[in-house]
Amino acid sequence: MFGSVSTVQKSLEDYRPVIGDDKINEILTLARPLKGKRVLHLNATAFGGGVAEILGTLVPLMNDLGLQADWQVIRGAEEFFKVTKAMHNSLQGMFIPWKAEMFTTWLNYNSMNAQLFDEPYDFVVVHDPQPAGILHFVKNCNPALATGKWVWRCHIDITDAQPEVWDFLRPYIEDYDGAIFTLHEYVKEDLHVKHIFEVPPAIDPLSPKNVDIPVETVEEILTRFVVDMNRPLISQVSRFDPWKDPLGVIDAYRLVKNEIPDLQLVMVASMASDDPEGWSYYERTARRAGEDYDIHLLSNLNGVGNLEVNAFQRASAVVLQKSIKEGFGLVVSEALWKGRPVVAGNVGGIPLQIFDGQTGYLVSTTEECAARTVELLLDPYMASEMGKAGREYVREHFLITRYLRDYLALFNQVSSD
Amino acid sequence: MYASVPTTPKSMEKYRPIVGDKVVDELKALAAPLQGARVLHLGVTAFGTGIAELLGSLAPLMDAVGLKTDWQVIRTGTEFADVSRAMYSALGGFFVPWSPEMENTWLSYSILNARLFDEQYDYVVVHDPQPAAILHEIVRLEGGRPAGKWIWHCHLDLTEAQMEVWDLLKPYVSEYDAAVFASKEWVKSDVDVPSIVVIPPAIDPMSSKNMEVSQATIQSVLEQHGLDPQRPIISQVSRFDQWNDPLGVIDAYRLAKQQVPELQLVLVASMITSDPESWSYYERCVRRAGEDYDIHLLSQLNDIGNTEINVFQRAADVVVQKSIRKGFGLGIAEALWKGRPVVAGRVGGFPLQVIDGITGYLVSSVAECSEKVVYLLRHPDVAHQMGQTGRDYIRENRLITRFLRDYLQLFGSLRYGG
Repeated sequence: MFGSVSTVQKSLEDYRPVIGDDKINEILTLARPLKGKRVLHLNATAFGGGVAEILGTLVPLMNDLGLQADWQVIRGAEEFFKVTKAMHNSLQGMFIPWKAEMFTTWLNYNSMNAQLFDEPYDFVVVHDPQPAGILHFVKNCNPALATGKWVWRCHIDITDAQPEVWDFLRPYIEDYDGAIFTLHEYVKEDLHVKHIFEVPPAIDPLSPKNVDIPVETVEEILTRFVVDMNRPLISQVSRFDPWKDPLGVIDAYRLVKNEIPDLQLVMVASMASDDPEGWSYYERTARRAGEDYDIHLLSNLNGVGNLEVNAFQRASAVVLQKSIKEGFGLVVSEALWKGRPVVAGNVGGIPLQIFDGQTGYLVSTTEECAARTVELLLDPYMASEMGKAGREYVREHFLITRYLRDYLALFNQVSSD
Repeated sequence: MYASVPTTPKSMEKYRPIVGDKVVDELKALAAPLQGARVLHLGVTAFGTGIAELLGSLAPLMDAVGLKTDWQVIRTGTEFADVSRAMYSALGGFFVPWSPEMENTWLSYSILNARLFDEQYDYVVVHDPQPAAILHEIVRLEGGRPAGKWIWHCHLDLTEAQMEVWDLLKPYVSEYDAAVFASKEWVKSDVDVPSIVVIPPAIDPMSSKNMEVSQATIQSVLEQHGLDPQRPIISQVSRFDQWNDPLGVIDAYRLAKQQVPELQLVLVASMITSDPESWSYYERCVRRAGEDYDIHLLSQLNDIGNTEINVFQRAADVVVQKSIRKGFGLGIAEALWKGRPVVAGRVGGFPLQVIDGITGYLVSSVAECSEKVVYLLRHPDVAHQMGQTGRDYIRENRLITRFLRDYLQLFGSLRYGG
């Protein structure tokens, strides 16, 4: 057996007030033929990252619907995770000098983990490239256990993958019955599997980061961080790295402040102790901010967690996501869900979440970002209308319940083969 | 048992070329009657502080002269760390809101640690106020005084200590056989201990922070961190906190730069810890520096270790130590040992290594600081002379061998004095 990850119990009924009867009923209908089916989600890590966050909700909801879902993590040691990190980066477009030993290491750990696969499942969802080779070894060494449907879930954009790494990985993926990508655009053309699915990511409206919180809590949190409730606030939640353009955010804020002198800016990041580039970009950001203490630079080091992020987004008149390169950019949906209009870079998955002029604005330059922000700050009615439209759009497309529905639908589809 | 801190063995002979035969022979003579004596140094931190650095040299040197020395740190938890920091600040003269809960936390950790004391020592040296109550609790738990002589070494200036915190500490301290202070001005007048000894802190000339480094290393470290070796450099190595006034250093640099436009400033934080206060002070420094990238703010986040600190001090034309209140003053000793003139804050009470006008300058304001920096930059001959005088002063007074000698003398006197 792999390492088992325990999850807290969740109930689909709790989502009824959020998404309505029709959607709940649709999910219940899709789940009916799957009752009692055994599902395994297999990935590399139990903590941190969007995948772990999603599985923490998805797995208990599947159980709530009568499936028998497990979440397990593969076993590995440092040498393996070094290789998988390199693999992850090179599949996302970074070029890394690959050595034969690295592939060997990956194969060894996948083969070793295949031997830990010792129970029959109806559906096995293998997440990301790290454990993708397991199916191959299960088929070869223990074919009796490879009888269920196996689906590979790819959470990253591999369209610019380093060719030698993708060529190495591809045959292992082609063993699967199906593959799930975040977006159709992310599907590799030369990948041949029977089923290809598109399942965009989603947010959990009941998680501490997104759940409705009383205005008193918002006030209390703002006061704790010396942000003035009575003055306009804009915010961006993202790492301090060049792709999220925190320097551009400060420049845009300065332009806006020329017209709205009361303006405050909150930038929230999470800082990892093992990330020297993150530190150095934090320093650059803080230097750009200078001694304007209407700019608040916050992170886990100041005690900012999910609830605080939630409060800062809710308290913002406008939320920014001025990325110049982005994956899906799910943080945009988090802000929209809170009814905030979002001004964001026109990159990655952002245009799928923002309809220019309806739920926010898509921008390509600092000046444009500032101009749109001013527009929204000066027209609270329009801002609020956009926020409402954004919330409705997220309700329809980017909540975890839609994600659950997609999975149930695809389980039904692969089992009808 | 407490958590044992490993140290690297040292040889006394390696110090002979630096300090001379007389000093080494004196140490051996003082150590002769103490052969095999068991010594415990008990502290709060194993790394990242001046005291930890000092003990990292002192403990193996005591072994090198024939004692059997352990260095251990007490067991702590998060809540203790907060209280410990507050206590340290309060005793150092900063006002902190001190509550009965904090007192309880402190005492409960003292009891917990007292239970861990399970070996026999001839000398136990308890460093700093945080673990000071452990002796009392051991006496209480065991119904009698443990064997050996107990020494409390106070590394900070208590003269402006917050009253209620000092009053809490005082009775615990009075149970010791001796108390050690870094300076005679720092001795609290109402300390009630049979023996009070002054042992000023010291630096280890063989440590990676102070040893000689090649010109090539200096060059490459500077370039690696984006500094131009051809242009004048001033530096301060200290924590980023209000005691060391890095904001004032940046202001002084700005004034000096008006006259010496080529000037570069290196501020090295000896430590950015995970505590939010130190983090937020770091942020303030970065923001004050703004986008003037002739100001280099470096810390362990930029992979700064002892060798780099060594280099930044050696490469500086002038070393600044603009402290408002000084705990240890070792940054000054380190700089002087490297032959650099030091412009330091005129902070009362401490027997300063900076002798005004002789090994550097004492200053009281940002303007004065920048004026002296500019003067030294424009008079390299004066700067050089001051640096040499400073190095000789440190050789006499502030090397770890002198520190060891003072301890051996103290142990000896306690042994015979009973």
